[in-house]
Formats: sequence, C-alpha cells, structure tokens
Amino acid sequence: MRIFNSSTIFIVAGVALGLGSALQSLETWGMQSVADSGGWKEWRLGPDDNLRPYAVGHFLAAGSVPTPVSTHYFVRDLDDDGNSLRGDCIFALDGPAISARWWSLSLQGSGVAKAQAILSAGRAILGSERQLRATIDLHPTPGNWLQPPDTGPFTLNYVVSEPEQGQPLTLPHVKKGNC
Amino acid sequence: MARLFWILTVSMIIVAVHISYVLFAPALLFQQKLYQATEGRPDNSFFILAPEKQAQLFPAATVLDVVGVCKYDLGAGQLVLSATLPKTYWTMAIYTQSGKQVYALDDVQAGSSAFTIELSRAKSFLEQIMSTGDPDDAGQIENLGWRVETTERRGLAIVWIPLSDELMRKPIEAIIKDSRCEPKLAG
Repeated sequence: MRIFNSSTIFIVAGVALGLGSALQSLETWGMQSVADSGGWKEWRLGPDDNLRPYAVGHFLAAGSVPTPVSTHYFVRDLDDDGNSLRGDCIFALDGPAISARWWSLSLQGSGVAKAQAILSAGRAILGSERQLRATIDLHPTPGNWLQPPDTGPFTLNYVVSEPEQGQPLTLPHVKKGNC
Repeated sequence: MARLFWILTVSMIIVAVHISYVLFAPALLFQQKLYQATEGRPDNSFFILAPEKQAQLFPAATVLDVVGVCKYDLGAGQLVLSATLPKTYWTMAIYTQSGKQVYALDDVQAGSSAFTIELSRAKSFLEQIMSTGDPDDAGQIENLGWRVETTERRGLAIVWIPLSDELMRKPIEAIIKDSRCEPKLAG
C-alpha cells in the first residue's frame, strides 16, 4: 500500500511538473531578446529556429495562426531603461524607419485582444533621412501619435513584413518622458 | 536503487508530458477556438473576417486591415482557391491545422491580382509506393495555376491585405468578395 501511494505521488508530480514546464515554456521560450535594441523581443518563428514549436504553440493556444515566415513580429513591454510601458506616462519612440513592404506599430492593453492604436507604413510621417518619431500619450500630440488604451500597462507590437534583403533591422528606441 | 529508479521515471514522465503538451495541445486548443471564431461558416468557403476578429486569428493584422479566410477540409478531395485581390501589397498563406505554413504568396510573386491555386493532400509514403499512376500525376496536371500539397486534411488559407486607413476597407472588401474556395469539380 505504501509503495502504491509513493509511486502515485511520483507519477502525479511528474505529470504536474511536465505540464507546468510546458505551459511556462509556451509563454517564454518562443521569444528572444533582440541585441542592442533596448528591450525588443522577437517571436522565434523562423523556419529553422529550434524553438519554433514553442512560438507556434503560443500562437495556436491563443487561437491565432503564427505570422507568415516572411514577417517579423517584435514586442516589448518595457522602455529602454527597464520601466514598464504604462498609459499614465508619455513615451517617445525614435529610430530609423525600416525598409519593408509593410510595417505596423500598435499598442495593446493587458487583457485586450485587439490593438488599440496603430501607426503603419502608409500612415506614418517620416522625418529627414527616413527617421521615425512618435509620441505615446493619452492626449493628442503633433506628428505621429499613438494613444494608449488606458492609464494601465500596455504592450508595443511591431510587425515588419518582408524587410528589404541585406538591410539590418534597426528597431526604434523607447524613452520615458513625463508621468 | 529504488530512489534512482524513481528519479529516472519521474524525469521521463516530465519530458514526455512536456513534449506531448507542446506539440499537440496548442493545435487542439486552436481548433476549438477557431470553431468558436468561425461558427456558422461552412468549410471550403471564402469569407472576410470582421475587424474585431481578424487580429485575434491573425496577429500580424490590425483592425484597419482586411483578412479573408478559407477554412479548408480536403476530406472530399481537392480544393480550388480563386482569388481576386487589389493592386496593392497583400500576402496569402496556407496553414495546416497544426500551424505549419505550407505555402505563401504575395503580390510581387503572383505577378497578377487574380490567380488560382489547387490545394490537395500530399500522398503518404505508403501511397507513393503503391501508386501506379493516377490522374493526379504530373503528366495529367491541368494548366490551372499553382498547385499546393499539404500534409494534413484540414487547415486555413488566409489572405491579408494591410491597410493604413479604415476608409479603404469597403472598396477592398468589394474587390476580394468574389474570391472563391470550393471543391474541385470532377472531370
């Protein structure tokens, strides 16, 4: 009886640990930090990436298909200094515009399925030397403006479709302003 | 000795459960959520998703974009996808129900805003060995357009047209609404 009890506990513990590690890894292992980007992470959806099953699994479990192989999907929820992106602060986004067939930047509040504010290749105003500058603020600002969904935390998504071959993907920096 | 046995057993259970869950559970969850998201839409038909649903199904899309979907089932045979798309940037990707992308095409690769793709199920290794030549073989392929084979019976074909202005949605919908996704007629 004692052997039966201890073996049951070992098996249940093994199943629980396997399940827990799988759920945790689906949330985190499919993403990798982008070097020298100030905090951007990219979903590992490249066809040759060893951790692609985790990234694909993350999307499928959420009821989504993974983005096409030709598309890069970047996310961040911290600014360059490690502060949380929150709607009650102003953030400045600055970097060279990526040469790609299409790109879009969007803000997504926590627990909200769809992105709230969108800035895209066809809509953004670029500065001289194709510099992309935008302000994330609850209140309207001149130039490119992204409005957070509310005063709470949000995620910044950057989707880049078919970037120009041979060009480095330089992602914009995000700096906190007034709160 | 007994302790070593249990350490090895529990380790193997952890690895087996982890791998099984990561490889199979997300696809099952996806099918359940896809069924809820496309309830009332029959298989093998083309439809345009509502803006509030498209970003959920296809995360690269925003609410401004247009996303058209064909939920295919090759159980009854081959399928023909005939798309009419605008002269702007668009992408079409075909996925299996387990999330594997089997084909992708964009406006530049297509070279045309109207095209046809024939979708069929790939033969298994055993079927290839047993096959002695049938109407699907290369010599019999009709000059229909592109031909894509998928390893799974069910899946999704998704057309994504990114837009920068919601006012463009109606005219783009009017262009792509005549796209078709239907079983290939015999003969």
